[in-house]
Amino acid sequence: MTTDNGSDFLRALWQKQSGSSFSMEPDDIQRRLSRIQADLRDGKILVYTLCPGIAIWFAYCLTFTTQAIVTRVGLLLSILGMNFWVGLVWLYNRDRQNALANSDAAGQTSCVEFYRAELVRQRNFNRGAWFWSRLLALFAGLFFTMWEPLHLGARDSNAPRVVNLIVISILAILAVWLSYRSSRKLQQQIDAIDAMKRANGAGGPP
Amino acid sequence: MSAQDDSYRKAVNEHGAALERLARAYEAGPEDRRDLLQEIHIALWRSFAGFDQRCSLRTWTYRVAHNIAVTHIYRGRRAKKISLLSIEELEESEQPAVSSSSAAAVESQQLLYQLYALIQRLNPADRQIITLYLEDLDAASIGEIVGISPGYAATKIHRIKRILAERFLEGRQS
Repeated sequence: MTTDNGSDFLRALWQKQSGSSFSMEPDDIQRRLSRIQADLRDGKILVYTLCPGIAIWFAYCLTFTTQAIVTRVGLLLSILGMNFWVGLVWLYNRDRQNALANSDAAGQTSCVEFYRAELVRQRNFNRGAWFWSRLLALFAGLFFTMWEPLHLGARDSNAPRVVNLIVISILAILAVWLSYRSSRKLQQQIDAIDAMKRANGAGGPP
Repeated sequence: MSAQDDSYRKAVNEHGAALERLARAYEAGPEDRRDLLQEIHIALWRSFAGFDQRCSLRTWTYRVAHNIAVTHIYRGRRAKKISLLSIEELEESEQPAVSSSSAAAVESQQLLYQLYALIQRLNPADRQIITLYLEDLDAASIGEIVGISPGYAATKIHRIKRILAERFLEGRQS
């Protein structure tokens, strides 16, 4: 049969490929692993130092500088939005690192299940309560923070505030659209896997 | 030498070349491929600390390698924004272009370039099935590694055979 002959030829060609005989010794792996873990630790320290640093700076502005109440509300919302963002990134990385650190799980879990878990992690990052909380807090915070300075810049006109509102609204709509488009694509792939699993349960292909 | 080291060495001796081909099926660039290969070897060695021999060494090795590769390409894909296809969608899509550098290469090399270009467009689930098929695994083994029924794996393999024949060998004959 032509189809079988053809694919058999490609299969033989595939297996004949010569590799560069890449190999690693267990001692070498342990050394690299220590280096990777040290890099990860350094990265974490940097992020965890930087984030509270920014939050403290905002808190200082909020408490000790003479800002209008609307600017203070804006700053507070911005701090909240950043905290939600950092919290979500932290949770996402924690889940991912747990999955990778527990390497024997990669051997025990079938490829389809592992792939589905990765897709679910990414989908959750792009939608749900966490997404809306960080979006609302950040954009509202940005809007209120700019409210008073823009008024001071143009006393007789509300035009800068209107422009600010339009720009922030466009950015917010864009953020929602991009996130939901991305999560919809991921959900389609999750649904395809679920359909495949259901077909498996029924004992045949869909 | 620990049992973990023993299992790792045995897996690399038996499947080292297949792991390299697998890395190439997931990553086109030589640097990304080398990174992936290193990541697979590290994960493989670590995984053998929990290897309970409930499945074969081959099944375990392929599962770890494919699962790590999926995580690896998704980490990179955030920046690359490639849209991946299923085998069914691939059947209806255009043949990927081959670069001019590969056009100068010998025919078998050209076929391999085309094959890799085709595989790299597939979504991970279908990419796993096609690479395992090319490694000469049967439907039951593919089903065990990927987590699908042997019947479903056989159906997918049938489609893969048809695509490979249509895309490569009929074009070659003409």
